[in-house]
Amino acid sequence: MAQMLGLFKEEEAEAAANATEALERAGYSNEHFEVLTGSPYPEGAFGEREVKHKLYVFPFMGALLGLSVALLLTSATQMAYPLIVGGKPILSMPAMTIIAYEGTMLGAILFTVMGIFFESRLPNPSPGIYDPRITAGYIGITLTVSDDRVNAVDQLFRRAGAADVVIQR
Amino acid sequence: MHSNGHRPAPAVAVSEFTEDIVGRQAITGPRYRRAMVILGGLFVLGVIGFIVRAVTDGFDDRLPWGYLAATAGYLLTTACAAPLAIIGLRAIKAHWRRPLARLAELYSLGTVVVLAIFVPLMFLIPSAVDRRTMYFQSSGTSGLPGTLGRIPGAPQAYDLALLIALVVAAIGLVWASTRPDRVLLGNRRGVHRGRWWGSIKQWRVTTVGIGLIGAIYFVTLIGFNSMYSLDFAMALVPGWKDAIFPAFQGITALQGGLATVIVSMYVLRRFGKMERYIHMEHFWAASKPLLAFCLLWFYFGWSTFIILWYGRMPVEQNVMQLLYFGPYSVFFYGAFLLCFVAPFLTLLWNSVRKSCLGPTVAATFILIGNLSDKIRLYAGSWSVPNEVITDHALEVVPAARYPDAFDIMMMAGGIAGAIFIVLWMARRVSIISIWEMSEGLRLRVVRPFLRTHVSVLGKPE
Repeated sequence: MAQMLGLFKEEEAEAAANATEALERAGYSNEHFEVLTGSPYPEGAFGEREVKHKLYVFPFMGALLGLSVALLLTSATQMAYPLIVGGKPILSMPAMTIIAYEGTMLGAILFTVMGIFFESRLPNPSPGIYDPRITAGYIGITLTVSDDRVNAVDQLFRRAGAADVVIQR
Repeated sequence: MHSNGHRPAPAVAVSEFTEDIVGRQAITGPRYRRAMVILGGLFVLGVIGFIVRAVTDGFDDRLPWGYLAATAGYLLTTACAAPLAIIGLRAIKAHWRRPLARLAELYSLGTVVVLAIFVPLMFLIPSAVDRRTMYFQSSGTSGLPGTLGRIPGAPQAYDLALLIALVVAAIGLVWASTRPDRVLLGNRRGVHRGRWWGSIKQWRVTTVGIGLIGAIYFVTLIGFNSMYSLDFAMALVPGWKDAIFPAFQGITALQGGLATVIVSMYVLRRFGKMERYIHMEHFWAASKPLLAFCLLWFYFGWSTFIILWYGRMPVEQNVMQLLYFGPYSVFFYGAFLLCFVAPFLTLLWNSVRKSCLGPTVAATFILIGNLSDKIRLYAGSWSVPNEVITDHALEVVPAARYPDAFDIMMMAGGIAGAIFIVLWMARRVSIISIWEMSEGLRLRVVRPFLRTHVSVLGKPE
């Protein structure tokens, strides 16, 4: 198996979009290839697959965990020191609300940061093929192909207008 | 060209822009060095002022520390609030935010300076037990109106927890938004670090993540600002009860944050030679919400004032003297003039709004007025001695304590520290977000239209 990276100049972004179409005609679905860019393009600009991520789950999980810890902390400390003043209930919701709010925020923040970290690394833990020219504006299309199809994909990229093709076996 | 002479700024190619910004990153100019030396020197002076104050006055009496408390309040409602403007603009997908986004986000690191100031201030505030605070803490022996058992550490531990959450959010925001540019600048030096390739998923996660962290930062800052104003100002003055005050402080944060962005934008354009990317349109667009915030400042300020002024109950009279017309009246009038009257009268005129200098002058008024407002609130409330803060009413209005040399050193040092961090970070990541600007430049073209030219902007979302 070989990893291939077709590099297209920024001003020839149309060629990159054509290359993804050519790849699909050659039997590679948009699940097989990845588009790499130096800055974000509008979604679907290269005909790539719709990106799925679970980032929205992280802040909610963190918020829920933080809220639970805060409620546990405030309830437990008040129950451990059950002092009734003026006949009022032991658990005071107004005071607990403040700490619950803080716990919720802290949990949400920590989990969101962790979420960005995990979601932008996974599920692709290996660095894969990369070229620094991508940060200089080039558009990269990367995919893994069997050794016998390397030449065909190389030709496909070049016919579409690739400025360079990088192969890593 | 329009009849009023205005024409859209010419389009800039992405590659040209990137090379320009990357080229600037490679050079450390003499102005930058001078600014860093001055800011660093002021920060060191601030630390010296703090040490001298700690040695000479100690931490038993709160009075000598009032101006440091005001500095923390000022930074919260100016530097730390600067990202709020961009977070809001990003949420509504306003494209003109792009050249200002990084600058505003870097200001969030001012929370680190606030944390450094907050830690010693914590020890000057008494426990919430047997005091009138929002924690309702009673020991059960004093007869004071606490209604529950103790939540240990109130208010300090919980204010600190929220501030730490804010600092984490600030660092997370800066980390996430600078990640692509750090990789770009690293690649130019021949170093590819980290796991950033620029895949579609990474871009999607980054843009969504920045939005989420930004929203959390917004809520946390407004929350902490409210708690700081309650625990470190209102709860220290017997008889001061005002439900609108935290919201008023929230408005001063929105106003002060936007003013910070406008003044910084002017400095960046004028002295950072960014005229190609920061145009009059940015000042014009920012001046409109700034005018609205001036009116909101008056509305909320009036709402808090009218309760005391119109009610004028015995318990409220001395509070009004302390906060408005008594020993700190000069700071109240200063805040009123510079946060409302002067910027309102300046921004009222479209010809003034439609310039680079007009909104900057108004924003400068606001930044000075905001400082005056914080001195009135914090130096005023910190002049109330501990012995009387559990009383029903403020019987004697304490005399004004004007800042001495060490107070001025600490205030200047705190403000300089926040700006120092922004400039220091600006050398490590570009002061203009390369990836965000590139995205915007790609979506904008200037086209002829009849006898003029118009800017055509693609909005994919």
